[in-house]
Amino acid sequence: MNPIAAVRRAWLVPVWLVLATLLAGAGAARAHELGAGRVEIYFLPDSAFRVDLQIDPDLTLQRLQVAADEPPTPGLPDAPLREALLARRDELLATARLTAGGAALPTTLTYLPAPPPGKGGREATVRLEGTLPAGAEALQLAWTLPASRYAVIVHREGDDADPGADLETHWVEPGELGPPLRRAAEVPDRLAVARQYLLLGFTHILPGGLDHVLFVLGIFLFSTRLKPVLLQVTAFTVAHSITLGLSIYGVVSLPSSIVEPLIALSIVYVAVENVLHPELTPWRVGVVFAFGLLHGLGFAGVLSELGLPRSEFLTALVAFNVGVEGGQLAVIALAFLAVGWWARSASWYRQRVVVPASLAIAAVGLWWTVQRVIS
Amino acid sequence: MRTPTVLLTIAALALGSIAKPALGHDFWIEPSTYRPAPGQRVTLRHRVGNDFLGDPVRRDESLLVRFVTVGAEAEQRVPGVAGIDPAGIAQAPGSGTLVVAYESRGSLAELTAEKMAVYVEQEGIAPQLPRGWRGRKLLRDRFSRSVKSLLVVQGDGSAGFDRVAGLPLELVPLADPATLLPGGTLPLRLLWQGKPAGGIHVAAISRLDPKHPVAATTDAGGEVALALPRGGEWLIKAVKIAPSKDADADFESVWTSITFVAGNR
Repeated sequence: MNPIAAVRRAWLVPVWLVLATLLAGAGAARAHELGAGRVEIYFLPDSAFRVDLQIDPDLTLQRLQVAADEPPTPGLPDAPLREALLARRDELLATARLTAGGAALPTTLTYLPAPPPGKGGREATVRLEGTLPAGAEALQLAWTLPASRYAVIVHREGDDADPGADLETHWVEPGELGPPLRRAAEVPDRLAVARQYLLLGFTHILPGGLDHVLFVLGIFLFSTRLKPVLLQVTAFTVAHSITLGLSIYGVVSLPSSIVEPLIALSIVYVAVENVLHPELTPWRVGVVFAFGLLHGLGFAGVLSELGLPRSEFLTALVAFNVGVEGGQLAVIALAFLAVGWWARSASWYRQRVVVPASLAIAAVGLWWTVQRVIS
Repeated sequence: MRTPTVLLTIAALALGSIAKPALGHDFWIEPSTYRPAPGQRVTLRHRVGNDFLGDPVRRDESLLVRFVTVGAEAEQRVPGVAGIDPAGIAQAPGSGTLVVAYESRGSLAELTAEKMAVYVEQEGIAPQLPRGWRGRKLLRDRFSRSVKSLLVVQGDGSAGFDRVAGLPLELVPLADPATLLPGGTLPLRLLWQGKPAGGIHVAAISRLDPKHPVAATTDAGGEVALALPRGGEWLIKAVKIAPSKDADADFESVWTSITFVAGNR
């Protein structure tokens, strides 16, 4: 599968360049610094395509001159710069090799100068237009002009109709043949989507959701008997499934500035109640259910940020929720392994495990509450 | 933030080094002017590329170890906005030379032997590489940047051109580039961790004739003399290969450069 990074809008590319830079700096293998180069590829009706190469015209002219072993002439005014570039039309065309199935694609070149100062960026556009041959479903680009990794953004018919639609973005090394770019978007495989969102749901709890982990541990520590734990876990699961679904479908919503501190406060509540009222009452189950509604809104916030594929919306939603359940059950299973079922029946279990652990959880929850309110 | 996108972006970044060499490897600082007026603000751009023709590189806080100006009185951090080109802004002092210095963290790069051979040829680093590198299918290089630029304030004197910024690998002019006549020789010393670095290939590239660099190798005292045929903007560069401190890389490479205007005083 080709490496694809989806971004909401083309104008977010600089943001993603920054994010990618930051993330890559954390240790991922990469060749060199990311540059600011960008290519926009538009697939149009009747197999037509348009490739917009964003260039710094002054730098481009100098590169073409140096490649031809001529002295560079930096800093030309706009008109002579355009003239000089168009005089090198063939050289400019040769820097961007477009192919379909290995065969070169004939294109026409149009030069669109940079907007006047103060009216936008200083980038000019080299526009290549052509038509895919019959039977060809994809094209590939090798662009030798940039000196650093550049972004290739793919626009397809219908993309503009949905402003929230994801745009496909690839990162390509200069001079290297980019991945095949398909005229029609690939339909995601249902099983692959389910697998991906199942994993995302699970990892949102373990190891990603320490607040949810502490809440579940609070439930685990409440009782040494299985029934009260199961009752609470079921109430929590039903509740957060309800708000997750309703929130994703836009029926309910609360700002994260309210939800997140309340989630932290819910951790404090269950932990303190473990110490003060260790008996299962309908009230406790009701409170856990109410907190579950809150956690569901939190999950929905995360899932909204993750994004759901339009064609497999329900699959992804259900898979994510199942993943979350899996994560919670894993927390409880790990807690059983850590303290052991035998320890839960020991006389010292409450004094040496439940009370100190619950107090520690409450302290962390309280800290998060303050932190989230302040931030 | 859309995590799948981020994950896929990381994946995209992690992939990518196919067979053909990507040769955009020099890194330097390009100020808006090398001759600022006293107190003038100068924008500082990071550039990556070849032939002294670089792509702009946005300020990257995750890679930044040190980005400072070193003047006669004190060292000052270069302010800037993350993710923005230019990478920073400096203010010229009242007189003399202001040294702008940037040091980056190491980034891991995987190079095919073919790609490595291109670097070796271009940078003259063969003597520094571990034995048997040609037999390796893939080489893991942790590369970092140690670059600086000399801004000479308009007016009297360019004192401070030989100021040491304390970069891990640093080229220090031993004569004033601002007073260099065309065809004159510029002596420099290459320092590695503050000590002279001998036996290292140093190349000077002119903005006006980047395809014909002037090159020489440092002597035992880390010194090298380069005859610069013309004035104007110059980029002088060197690469030091060092053993890797971590198991995830086969070696570390530190890329240094100094940019300045020769003559013109």
